[in-house]
Amino acid sequence: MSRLRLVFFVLLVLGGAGLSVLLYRAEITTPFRATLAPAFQLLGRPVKSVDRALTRVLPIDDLDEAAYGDAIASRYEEFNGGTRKQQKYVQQLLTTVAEGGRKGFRYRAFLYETTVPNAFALPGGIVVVTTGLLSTLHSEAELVSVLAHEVGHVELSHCIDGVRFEILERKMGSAPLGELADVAMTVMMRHAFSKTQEEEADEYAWAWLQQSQYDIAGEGRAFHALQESDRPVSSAGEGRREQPHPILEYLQSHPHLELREERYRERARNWSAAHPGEQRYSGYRNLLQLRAMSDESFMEEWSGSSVSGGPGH
Amino acid sequence: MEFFLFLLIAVLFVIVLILHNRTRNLQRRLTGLERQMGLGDAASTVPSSIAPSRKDPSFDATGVASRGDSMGASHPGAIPSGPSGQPAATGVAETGYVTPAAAVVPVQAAVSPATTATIGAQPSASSASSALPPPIWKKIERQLVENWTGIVGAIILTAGLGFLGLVAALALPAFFRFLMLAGVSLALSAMSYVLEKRPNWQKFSSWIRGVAGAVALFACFGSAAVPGLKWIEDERAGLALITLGVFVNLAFARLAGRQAFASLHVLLSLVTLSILPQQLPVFVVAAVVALAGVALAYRSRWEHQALLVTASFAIYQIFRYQMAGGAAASFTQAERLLGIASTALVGLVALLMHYRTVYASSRFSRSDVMPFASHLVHWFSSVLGFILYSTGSKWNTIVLVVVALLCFALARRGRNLGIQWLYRTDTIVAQSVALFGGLTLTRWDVDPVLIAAILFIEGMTFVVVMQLAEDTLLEIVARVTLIVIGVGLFVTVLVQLDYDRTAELYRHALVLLVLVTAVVFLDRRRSSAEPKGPFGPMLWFLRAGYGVSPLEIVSGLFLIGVHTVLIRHVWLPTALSLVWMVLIMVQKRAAAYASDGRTSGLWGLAGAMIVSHIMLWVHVFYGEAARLPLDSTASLLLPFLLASLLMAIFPIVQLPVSLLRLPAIALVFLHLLLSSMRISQPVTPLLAGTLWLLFSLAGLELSLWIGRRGVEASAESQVQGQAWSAASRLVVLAAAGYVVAFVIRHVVVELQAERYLGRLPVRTVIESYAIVVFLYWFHTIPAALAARDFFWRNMQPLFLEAALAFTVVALELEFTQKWMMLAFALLPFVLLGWERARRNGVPDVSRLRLYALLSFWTAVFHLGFTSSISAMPAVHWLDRSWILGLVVLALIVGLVGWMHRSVRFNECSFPPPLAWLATGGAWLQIRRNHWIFDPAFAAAALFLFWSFDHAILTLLWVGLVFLAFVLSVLLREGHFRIMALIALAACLGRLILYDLSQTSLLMRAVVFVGVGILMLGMNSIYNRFKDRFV
Repeated sequence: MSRLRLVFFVLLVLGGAGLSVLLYRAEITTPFRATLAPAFQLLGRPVKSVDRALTRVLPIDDLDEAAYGDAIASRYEEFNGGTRKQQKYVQQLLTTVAEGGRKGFRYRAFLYETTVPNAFALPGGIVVVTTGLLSTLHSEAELVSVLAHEVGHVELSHCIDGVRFEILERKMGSAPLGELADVAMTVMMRHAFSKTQEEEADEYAWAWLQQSQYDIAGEGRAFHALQESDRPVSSAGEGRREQPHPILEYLQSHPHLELREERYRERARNWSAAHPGEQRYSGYRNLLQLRAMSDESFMEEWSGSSVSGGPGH
Repeated sequence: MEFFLFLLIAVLFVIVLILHNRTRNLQRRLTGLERQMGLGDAASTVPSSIAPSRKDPSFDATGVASRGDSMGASHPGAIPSGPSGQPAATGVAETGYVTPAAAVVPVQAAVSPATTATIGAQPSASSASSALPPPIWKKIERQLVENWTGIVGAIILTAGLGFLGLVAALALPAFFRFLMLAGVSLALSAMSYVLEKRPNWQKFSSWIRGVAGAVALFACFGSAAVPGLKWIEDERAGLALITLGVFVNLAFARLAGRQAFASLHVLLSLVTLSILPQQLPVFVVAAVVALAGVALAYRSRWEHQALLVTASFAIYQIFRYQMAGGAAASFTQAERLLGIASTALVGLVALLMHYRTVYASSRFSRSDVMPFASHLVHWFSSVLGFILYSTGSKWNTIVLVVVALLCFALARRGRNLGIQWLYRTDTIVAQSVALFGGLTLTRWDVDPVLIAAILFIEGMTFVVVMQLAEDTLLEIVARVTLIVIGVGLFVTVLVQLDYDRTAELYRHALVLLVLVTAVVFLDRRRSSAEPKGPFGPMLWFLRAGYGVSPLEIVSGLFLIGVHTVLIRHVWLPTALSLVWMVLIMVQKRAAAYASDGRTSGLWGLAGAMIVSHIMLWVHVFYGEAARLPLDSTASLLLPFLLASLLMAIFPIVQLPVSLLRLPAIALVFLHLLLSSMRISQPVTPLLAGTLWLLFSLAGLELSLWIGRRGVEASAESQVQGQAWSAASRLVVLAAAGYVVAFVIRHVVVELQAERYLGRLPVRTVIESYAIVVFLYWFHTIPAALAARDFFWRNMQPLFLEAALAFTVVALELEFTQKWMMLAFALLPFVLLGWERARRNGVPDVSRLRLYALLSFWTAVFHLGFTSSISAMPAVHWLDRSWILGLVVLALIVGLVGWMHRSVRFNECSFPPPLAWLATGGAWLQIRRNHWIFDPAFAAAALFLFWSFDHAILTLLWVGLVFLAFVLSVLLREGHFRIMALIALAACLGRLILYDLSQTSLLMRAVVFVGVGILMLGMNSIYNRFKDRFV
């Protein structure tokens, strides 16, 4: 063994041993014993990039999408649920989140009456939020992170990606936009965004949170809250994660909430460490009172960004 | 009534007429035949339609036949003469059944005298062809015509007469009916007696006698048992009369002289007796009949007769058994004992029949087929009889063992007599009886595992005896039997497994260990001489091992059995490891003293080790041990690890060709892999992968060290050198296996980890370490002897690709798409720089040029389509898409320059698995500038389109056109000029259609001025370098 090689070998062994000690001491655990979901997400990226390039070269622009959104809004406005206060609150937050969006859409929020916590975006800047989501989340920071995620779907053209050919065909044939809206609605409800798109929308929300005044941990907390509401009540399986099945993982539309929660919780922790003393707003009371931070800012809601827990959580 | 009598008489009359005509025909043919035989000139009497023509070319072609040989002396189709000078046709009578070859003459003599004459006097083409064995259907047909038509005919005639008797019974008293039938029998007997004296009527006479015997038997039987014919009411008297009929038949059988007719009489007797109520006297008579039949066969060596009688007697006994209710318990003790005795007696006489020197045969020939088949049927019939009368007594064990010993002794006598097939058959039977006797130990309430062990010991004894006897076939049988018993014992242990009965578990484990020891010592007795004969190779395999000898299979199974039985004990791995060590030492010592110097038993040991390891791992990961604390788990795993390690090292030093090396090395590496995973899992699932990378490094260096030792050793001994090289090869494969395991674990487990280690994501830290390890692997140069190994030639170079793949994965995981654009733009600089900085003595990395181009294209794609137009909110100024885009654009320009100046894609070399990429490199090189410049221009145009105000877009695009035009001058490539001119035309179109109408006056002015200046510049360049555009 040459001397240089020996040096490299010793360094590598020492490095590996040091890394092992660090890992042993850190006692880092993973949400699942084994999962292929991150690998599937990774493999989906190049495919998604090509897909996006395809959308770019099609003769569909933001004006088409905006018109499409108007059609959807006019068709489904009468189904808008929740209280007027809730509607106003969500719309106000959505406008805040979408401010500065590249597409320049007029974002409209709709509430859907159901106990299931969920939200989804439609082409043209339509964001549907369930009333169950409002009761599941704990703070305004969590809610805006969800809204930012949905705005991300719109801004990143995920919505239009799903219906671009239908739109193009109808555009050529001058089909009524109302009919188009039905088609889009069906398609959007059937084909949820892919795992890669979800990951991108998460990244959008994270980027938005960073440049906002809201609690940086809001996104991780929102996933935690959704995960808690999604977990089946079972005394035997309490606190236990079900081992995912590789095939189901491939077919599922969304990444595991556990993985998303851990990712943004860790990022928030890291961000907080890099920004000591920076004050961020949680907005627990705001969500309870349905008053946006821009309307009323409570002093106690400002704090150094925390990762685990907070008032009322 | 009268009508039926009339009908009877009419039918009889018709039969007499038919028989008369038939007799006259036969007489006529007989006379013709006698005349021809006497004249000896067949040709003159042969009809021209039948006799072959001398002018027939096909006939002439036979040559010898056409010239006419003397009668049958040496012709293959002629009748062989007996010792007395008589034709063999008379000899046929001795064996009874007409053999196909001998049957030719009588048949043809009876049917066609002319044909017979042809065969006898003038061997013809047909006679020549008759020398060939007749087709199978001919044989069947001949047997049917010759024998079975007679047998069936006699039975039918008897039945017909019986019916006639029944008809007569309606008119006559029973006693007269008996007399009538007896008279018919007597008449037929007389006819038979008269015809028997005429040589050509002997066969017919035999049939007639058979009918006479049957009629007599029917008359006697009817007198006692058939309603309508019955005139004797007393059962004893009736049985006596039937017995008389039976003995008449036996007498006829004795007189028959041919086994076909003798068999007929015996069969008729047994059939008659089976119809009677099955009382003890009836069975006695049946046994006597069978005995007499067998005795007749014994005297005359009638194989068919003996076979038929023993088989018929067995069938009779089954029938009787069924009639008795289908259960042995329904027999009285006397009946059972009598049944056993009669079965034994009939069987013994039949079996002893073959223990005569006349059957002596050193090699099994066609003539031995019938005696062999007959012998088997005797055994089968006897065993059947014994089973039917089985008493279920536990003392049968002793009886069976005694029988087995007697049978074995008898077999030895067969060998002394020179009857090889008999010796082998009865030896195997003796072994079967002995094993069956062992199985009856269940009646003694012996533990099934112990019974199987006893059988195994008996099987081992049998192997030793057969080895001493030096009989290849029997030794094969003995060894295969031992394997079967061993497997049976293993299965029995599993079936009897009950972890709650601790004492029994210990006992079973002890039995298995003792038997492993015994089988090891049995193997020591194996002869080193290579067995000969047709079965020699098979025996060699069964003796020598290669995974199929009893030692290999059985010892492996038994050791697995011990593990299974004692799996719940923490000390088991230690104990089992010690057993393995002891066995290796014993086998090594045995090899040292063996004449062939070969160590056997290692296949089984290796198999047992592998299975035991798997069982242990399953136990530790998924079984009861999964809940044990770490120290207990370690105490379970450590002994096996040490044992495997010792075995992996030990054979390298001591036994270079040992089979244990491969599994031992594999097990050591697997052990480290799984143990590290099991132990680290509760703390953190991320640790195992890093440990595996460390193990892979250790394995790599170990393999290099072993390889160097191999080089040194090869200078002294080539064998030693090869052994070390082989070990080096295995170790490096195992080390690479760790890397593969790491990659799998990283994808499945570690990729999901989002936690940070310090300021970096933990998975990124692990990936970085992995990349460095991969590069260390890539830069490793093997020892000289291993350089041509498959792994070093094909797999090891791929560590470069692995490092690159991990780099891309790490970048993809940690960066958003717009930053990925920057990463992919920077990566080619790294790759090309690396390739340029490579020194001599370092593995070739020229293929990095191609990978740099791929990365360049990816950056260009991102710039043109995705990242430059990202809608992601910018966190800080550098995060803005257009700024990143400009940076990337600058990098792309730099890359284009670098690649254009110094990168040649056709000079890339690839490892064998990627050799196909070399074609791609050569293809790219042909139009290299297209592949470099065109994507860059396209991406730049798109980037400008997405990133800047459309008002000045025309100006920016014309700037690009200008650059392309300049390039066409610099590179002297017309393609760029054409592209520039087309793009310029498009820009001018946009200038007129869009800029004139959509933009402000100021912007319009700026754009027009700019475009104009650039176009003038193009014009001046064109004029200045006009010669370059040619």
